[in-house]
Amino acid sequence: MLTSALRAVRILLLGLCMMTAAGSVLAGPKILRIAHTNGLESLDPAMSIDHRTAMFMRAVYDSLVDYVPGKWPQLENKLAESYEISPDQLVYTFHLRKGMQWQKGFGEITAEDVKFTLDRAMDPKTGSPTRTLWDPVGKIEVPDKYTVRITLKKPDPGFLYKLAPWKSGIVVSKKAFEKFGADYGQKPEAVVGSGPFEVTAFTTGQKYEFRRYDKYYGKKPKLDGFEILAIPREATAALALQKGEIDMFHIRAKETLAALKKDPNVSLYMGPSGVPKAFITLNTEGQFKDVRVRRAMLHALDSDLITETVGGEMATRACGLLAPGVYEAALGCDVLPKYAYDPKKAKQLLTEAGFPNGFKSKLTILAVVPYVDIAPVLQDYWRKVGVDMEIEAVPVNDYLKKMNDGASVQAMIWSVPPGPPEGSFFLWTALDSASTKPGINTMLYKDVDGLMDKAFAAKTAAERKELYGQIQKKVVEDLPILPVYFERAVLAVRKEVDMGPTVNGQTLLPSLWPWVNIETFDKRGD
Amino acid sequence: MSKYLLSRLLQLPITLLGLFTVIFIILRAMPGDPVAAYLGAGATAETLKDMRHKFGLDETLFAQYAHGLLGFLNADLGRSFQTNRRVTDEIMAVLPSTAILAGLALLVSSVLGMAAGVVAALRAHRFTDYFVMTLSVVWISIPAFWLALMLILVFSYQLDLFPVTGVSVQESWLPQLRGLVLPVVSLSLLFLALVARMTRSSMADILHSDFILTVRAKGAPERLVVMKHALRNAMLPVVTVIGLNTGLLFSGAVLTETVFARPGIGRLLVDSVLANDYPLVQGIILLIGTFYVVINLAVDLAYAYLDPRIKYGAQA
Repeated sequence: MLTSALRAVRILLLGLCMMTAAGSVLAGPKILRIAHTNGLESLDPAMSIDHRTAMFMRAVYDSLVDYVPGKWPQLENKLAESYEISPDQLVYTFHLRKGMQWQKGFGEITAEDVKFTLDRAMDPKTGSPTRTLWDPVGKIEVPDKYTVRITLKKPDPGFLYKLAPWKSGIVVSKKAFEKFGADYGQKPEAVVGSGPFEVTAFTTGQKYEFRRYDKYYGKKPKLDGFEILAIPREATAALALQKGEIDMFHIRAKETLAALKKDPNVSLYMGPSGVPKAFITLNTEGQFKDVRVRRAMLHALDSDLITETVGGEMATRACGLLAPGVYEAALGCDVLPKYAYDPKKAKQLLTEAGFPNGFKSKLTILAVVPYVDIAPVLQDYWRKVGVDMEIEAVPVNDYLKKMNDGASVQAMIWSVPPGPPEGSFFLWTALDSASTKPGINTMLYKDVDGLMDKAFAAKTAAERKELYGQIQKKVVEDLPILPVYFERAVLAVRKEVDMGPTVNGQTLLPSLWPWVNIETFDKRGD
Repeated sequence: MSKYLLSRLLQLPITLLGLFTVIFIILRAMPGDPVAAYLGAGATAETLKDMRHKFGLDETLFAQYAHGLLGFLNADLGRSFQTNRRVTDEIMAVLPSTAILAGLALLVSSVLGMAAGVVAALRAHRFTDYFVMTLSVVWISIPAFWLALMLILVFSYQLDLFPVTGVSVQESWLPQLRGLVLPVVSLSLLFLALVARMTRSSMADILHSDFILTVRAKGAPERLVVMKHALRNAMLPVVTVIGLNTGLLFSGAVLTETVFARPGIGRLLVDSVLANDYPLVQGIILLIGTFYVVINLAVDLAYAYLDPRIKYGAQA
């Protein structure tokens, strides 16, 4: 009996050793394995809204213009060989390269494809979540097979960036959509791109395989391909990275960052902070109508300490709305009005505004990390100056509904992913009274609407930059939004991965996934 | 018996219709908005309107119900709001993974659980019994996600025996099998403990019954006494637990699937509920409902096989 049991254990151990060995001796092509929290939301560019999905989209599809790897935010021609912009900034004429081929035998890329892409994205029947991005477009004409002319209804300084690979800027094949219809993007053969990689296999929500497209007209990627694995838990992804099962993932928790810092096989690439994480929008028509109250709310916060303790290494102190290093026109803390931690001054401002004994209000937050960590800290600081903020933590869906329905709140911790580097899209989304319903409060604040109209219609980039500066200063003076800290995005990468100019240049922007250039990556020793 | 089987199978569409209606009501009563979940914050009113129309959410509730029901009767569960893929395709993409994981976990937990329960019952009130029962209490009490992370830490990270994620990059069967070991162990332990406790309790009662005494008095060998006479009679409550386990394993493997990054029905259901993806939630719940009905039927039929005194469809 004992002998049989021992034999069984021996066989089991031998089996395990063989299984381990089989796993380790397999070597193959250079495939980069990237972990992603979820699967990709859609492989149809017009239906994609998640900016991380856009990173992978841009590896499969091309657009008229694209960002130069490592030279953010400089643009270069991609499908377009050249383009002209009319002096009144209303007519954009693009001349396409000749002979570029769609993947999977769908023929040559022509101006008709560009027109189809934009028409489709603008058609309400498509239901594209990014349709309104194209509101300024008046008409699209195709004078010949390789020329497309877009006429705008009004100047849009961010228009060229919208045509770069970010959400709907990606060009799709008209023939492929005519062939697959509603099934476009539902199976690998129904994803037809023009970029350096093509989709070869995927199981929705789990795993996606991309392989080099050898007929690509541009520079060939160094990798043979890449794969995306959906790993929902960050702890699992971190262990998988340490073991070498994956090559790269995007860190979201400061605890993970601390753990991976100790691993010699892992490199950490810290991007400039792009996402406003601890930004509080205040209702300028409600309890926070008086600017002195809003200033008191910011003086009451020790923003430096909050950034250091709550945000940790993932955070950088924010002085204004646009993140320096991400937006060309962003102003630094040295130029913007300052609000030092000063509870006495906060109390004094509240007294002057008619609240000597403080007041009660409510802070609405998304019931997820890091907001649930940030909110009690803010609450504690405000309580010290007499402002009793009740925390209302709502689930993601409720929160989004509240914002989109325009339900007015008194104060809200607000976050929005960064947009194109030009700044107009972000400023408009964040501040223009016409952009979002009062759900995020900022629609109630109208004092920079005029400046924004002026900036968007500016004739020169220098004039526009000057106006963006004025907007930022005005916003920090008026404080419809209290800036505390931006979140820095961090990529955890295996040592054997060479990130190319994306990292070696001065502008690593992993927080802005759409602009990470997988085609410049390489992998050693696989 | 065949009449009984037929009548039970005929109940299935009625059960599913009821389930469809209940899910429809619950989903619409749930807080949140699928369009908001899809578009995120800051969507313009125009885009929200477009998407509501696209998802058919601008229709009256009755019209939405009628459309959904018509589709359901035509075996068309619609398309996922999030991915625009057919619900059946979404489910079929992850079903094999859950079936393999749950099937193996069921096999391991049932076989080892019954074996442990029988051994404990045979050594009742002795060290082996206390050891098995204490261990089963520990396993029942350990949170599944913690156990899964500890298994990864020890067997994947420290000993390097198995992959961390459970989803192997390589496609051959061997790495796939390696990837299954830890998830199966993690998922099995709780159910194994439940089966062991139930088997032990049921066996202990049966072993002290008169007919076992009679069989032993007739000189039957102990193996025959335990395996043929005692175990078969002790199986009724155990089969019930295994039936329940089957349903739970199928639908409730979400923690295991999440920690080991395995695709599966449980994870898909949680994701779709969080995104208010009505068609997908409806499709998955209907599938799980069907599965529960079939499992209950199988358990009832197993009763008749194990205890010949139970006859379905016969007059009392």
